[in-house]
Parts: sequence; C-alpha cells; structure tokens
Amino acid sequence: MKKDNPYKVPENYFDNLGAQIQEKIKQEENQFEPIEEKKSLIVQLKPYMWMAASVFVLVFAARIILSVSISPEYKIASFGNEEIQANANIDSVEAVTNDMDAQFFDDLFDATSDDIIDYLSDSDIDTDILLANL
Amino acid sequence: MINKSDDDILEMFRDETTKEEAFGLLLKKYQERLYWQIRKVVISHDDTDDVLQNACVKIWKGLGNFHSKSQLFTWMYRIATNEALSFLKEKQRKHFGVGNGEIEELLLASLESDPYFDGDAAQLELQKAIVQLPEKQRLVFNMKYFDEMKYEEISRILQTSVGALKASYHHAVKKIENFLVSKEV
Repeated sequence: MKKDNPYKVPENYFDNLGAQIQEKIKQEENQFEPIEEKKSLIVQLKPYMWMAASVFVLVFAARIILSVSISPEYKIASFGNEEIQANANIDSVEAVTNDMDAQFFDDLFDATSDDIIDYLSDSDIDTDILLANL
Repeated sequence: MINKSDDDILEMFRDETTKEEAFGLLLKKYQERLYWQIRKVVISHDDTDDVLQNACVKIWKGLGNFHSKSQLFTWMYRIATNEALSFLKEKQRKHFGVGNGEIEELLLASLESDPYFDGDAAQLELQKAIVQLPEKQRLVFNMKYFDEMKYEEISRILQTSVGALKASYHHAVKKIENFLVSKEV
C-alpha cells in the first residue's frame, strides 16, 4: 500500500487561508453585535418596566381596598351580622339569612318600574360611588 | 516566518493589542495539520474548508480560556476532529432524516466526485476501504498510518486509552486487508 497522501488542495489555498479565517471571525463577531444591542435595550428599559409594574400593582391594590371599604354589599353584610348578634332568639344564622333573602326578593318582585324610579330619586344614593364600584 | 513558541503566542493572544497578530501566527503554524485532520474525516475539500473555518472560529473564541493542562495543538486538534465528526452527523441527518442511512455512502460519493483527489487506482481503492470503516477505527487508522502519530498523542486527542486505540487500529488494518483482497478476487 502506498502511503502518499492522494488528496490535493487548490493552488495557493494555504497562502490565503489565514486571511479568510480571520475575515470569517470578523463576520461572526459583527453578526453578534445587533443581538448585543437588543439585549442592552432591554436592560435599559428594565427599570421603567419595573416602575410601570409597581404603579399597576399599587393602582390595583388601591382599587381592591377602596371597593372593600365602601362596597354596598359589604355594608349590607356588616348590618346583617350585627342583627344576628343582637337577636338571641334566632336559632341559626342560616335561618336569618334565608328569611332576609326571601323578604328581599318578595319585595323586589312586587315593585313596579315607577316604584324603583321613585326609590332611586328619593334615596340619598351617591351615584359616583356606585359607578366606581361597577 | 517568525517561529514563536505556543506559550509566546498565547501570551500575545491575551493582550488585546496583539490578539489578531497572535492568532495569525497560530494559524500559520497549525492550519495545514488541522486541514488534513479534517479532510481525512469529511473527504471533500469544500466541506473541509467550511469545517476548518468553523473550527478556527471556535478556537478563537476558546483560546482566551485555554490553560496549559494539555498541549495547545492537542486541544486544537480535538476541536477540529469534533467539528468534523459533528459535520458528518449533520450531513447524514440532512440526507437520511431520522432514518439510519450509512455515512459511508456519502463519503464514497464525496471521494468519487472530489476534484481534488489525485491518487491512482490503488490509492482510490485504499481510500474506499478506509471510508467504510467505523468512525473511531477510521480516525485511528488515518492518524496512525498517514500522520504517523504516536498512540499516546492520539490517546490525548481522542481521549481513549492506548489499549483501545491499538485494538481499533488492528481491527481497521484487518478490515482494509479483507476489503482489498475481496476486490482483487
């Protein structure tokens, strides 16, 4: 078996190889530059994103706290609890709430549109609070 | 050409002002040996050119972190070999998908169509026998037979024991002999 290398290369191939490789390295490094810029843009915006997220959380939390403190449902619930505690003759909490619900719906079904309009105009209801809690 | 030692080149590479010059010296010193290592794995000149450039980019990126636990050339040779083997696997995947097509078919096709093969009929038959060897045996055979490297050096590059390399080389020689004898009959 002959030991000679049977493979050949194009003429002057090795003369220019080093320059070609260094050119390729430069190209590779330039390709990564835009990605670096994108990363740095995100890094730059990061504090503002955190600020925006914090403001959003604060607004959301304030809205929940306000809605709980002025919610009509909350007031009705509080009132019901006081009644229950004051009335020692009632057998169970469930019975009281069932009675209240039944009376409320009976009254509601008997009311006409005019009754509701009269009620709303006579009552001292703050519509701003109602709208705020929609 | 100024003959600087590997340590001198490494020291120059770590200095930003002489980094490119150092890499130029390193390429001049080792590019041909790296080329031939890759060429014997991927066969085609054009493929070798692509793989060598990719391997050199990896060497450039990793050289700053190279520590002299192993010889610089051994480290570069290992990168070039791994890059060549990865290229063949990718080529195999592109041609055969997830199926088990044989890489030797592609290598034989490269061998027969490569305009930069200048051997006679006997050399062509020898190369055909070599490309049909399993990957590890092919690597060991080329490094031992053509490059006349010592088993200890091959062991450091391929990270395989000397005993296993000797066994691989022995099997490779037997298979090549059988292949060539069968062609003569």
